[in-house]
Amino acid sequence: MLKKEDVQKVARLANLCLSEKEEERFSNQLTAILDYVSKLSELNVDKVCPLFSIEKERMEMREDKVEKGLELSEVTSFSENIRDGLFVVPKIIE
Amino acid sequence: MNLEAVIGLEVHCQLASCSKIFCSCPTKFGALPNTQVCPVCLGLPGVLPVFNKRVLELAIISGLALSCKINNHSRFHRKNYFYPDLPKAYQISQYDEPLATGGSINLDGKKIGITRLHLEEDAGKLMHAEGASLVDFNRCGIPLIEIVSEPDIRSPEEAYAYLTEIKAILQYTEVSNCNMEEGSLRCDVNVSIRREGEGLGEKVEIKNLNSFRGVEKALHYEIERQIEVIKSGRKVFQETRLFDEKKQVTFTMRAKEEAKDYRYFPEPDLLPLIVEKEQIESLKSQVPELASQKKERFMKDYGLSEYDAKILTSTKEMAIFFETCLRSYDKPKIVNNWITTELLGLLAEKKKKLADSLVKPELLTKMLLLIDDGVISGKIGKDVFAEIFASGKDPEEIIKEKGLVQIKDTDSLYLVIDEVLSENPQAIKDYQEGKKKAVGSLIGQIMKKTMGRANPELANQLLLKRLGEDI
Repeated sequence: MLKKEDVQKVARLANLCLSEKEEERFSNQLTAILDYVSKLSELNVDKVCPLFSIEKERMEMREDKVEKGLELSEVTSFSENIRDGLFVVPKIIE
Repeated sequence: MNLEAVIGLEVHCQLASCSKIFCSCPTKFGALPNTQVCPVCLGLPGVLPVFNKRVLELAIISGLALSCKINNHSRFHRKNYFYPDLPKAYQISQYDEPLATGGSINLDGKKIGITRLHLEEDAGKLMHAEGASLVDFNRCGIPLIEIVSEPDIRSPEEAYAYLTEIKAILQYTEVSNCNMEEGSLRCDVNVSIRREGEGLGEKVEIKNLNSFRGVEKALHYEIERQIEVIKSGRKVFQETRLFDEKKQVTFTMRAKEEAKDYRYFPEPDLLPLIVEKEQIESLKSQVPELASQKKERFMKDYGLSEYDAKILTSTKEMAIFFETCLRSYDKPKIVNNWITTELLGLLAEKKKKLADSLVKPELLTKMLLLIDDGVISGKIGKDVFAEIFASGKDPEEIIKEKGLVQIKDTDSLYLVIDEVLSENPQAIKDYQEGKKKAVGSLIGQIMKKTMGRANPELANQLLLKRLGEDI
């Protein structure tokens, strides 16, 4: 069973605020998922090579060529809170 | 109790590709905010990253120049964290299988190990305004290499030397412009204190370091702080601190996150990065002669001191400037003197870089030939050089315009000498009474009257003749 502190930590890392009720519910759900996935460790895969893709083994690459991206008007349309072409976000204080 | 500092550095360097690491957006500096972005680097749904071939080449060249082993098989991971400058909420980076490992550089005989060199994408830029923060995503997806040193560095000065050498290597190989003002080169510091010979203490990371001198100063402060904490019997906590350049202190930013908090996992949108031996071999030929090798060669071939050779090879431009001069003026020591004293002096005074200066090698060597031919004196040469520096004009033209040609004809010099002698009967008397020093003050006055243009040897000879010496 996943501990309450673990759920709280994962929630914090995921930027989520959970109520106590939610913590409990997600703890159950996450535990069920982990249990299900842990079935995989029953298999002995010592002699199996890692498979990165079923299609290809290596990465396709592109030439270093510049193409025009989005127009500023398109970019700024993604948010209602724009100042001088910049996205406005809550003040970050470190 | 003998305490020593253990320092490791992480250098982030922008690779000089035209387009970003996983999309075709331009990497040019100085564009208006959010005008160099696309769905890929903005992390919009449904897009796929495609890796830039040139970025790989530049990273391999960097790895080779730092004597790293280039790994045949490496891969990308997602590093997950929330921050407004990271629109995907993860950074594509490399984790347990970096591109290159096990390198080193040499600092005056001391070897500093390089743990790893890996590829990653940059995040956007945050600016802080009244009541809000503002985000420009242009830097998202800019290709970076991160170079992680072994904790082999023991002092702030050594950290400074390490950074200078890394920068010189990256500039020489032309993988990056290493411009710190533009953010092409950044550095984070890890420092801990231990009793000599014992295991490592808790380490503190310092961020927000904008210059190599800043790194040095931050380390001085931080080492002193940690030693004080230990001496007072308290414990140093693992944390991330920021350096306040104005106050010259470091302060707590946050408790340091652990690697597992980043929940690294293999980037499912990218396949493993396979580098063939043949590619590494062919890129080896693109690693040029590096600063340290050039320095050795300058000392050996041109008979320069280590100090001078180091200055001349501190940047590639400077080394090229020097060697270009030698093609038309084959006196290395003289060229070295003019560069290291006059040229560097003026550059420092005017806060200019060699690349922006109007002095060209052929202008300097032309002037040096004019000095050798006796057209101008070395002293006048300094004025001519300052004028070349200011205007980029041809030295011959400057000499003509300003009437700086050396006076070498006997008649003209005698006119001046006689004038000076008639004004200084006492000096003549002194001389005749055996005070030979009087000549010096007379020569000084001759130079003053000719505004430094009298040929000093000839003037000296003629003066002595007039004073009755038999020459």
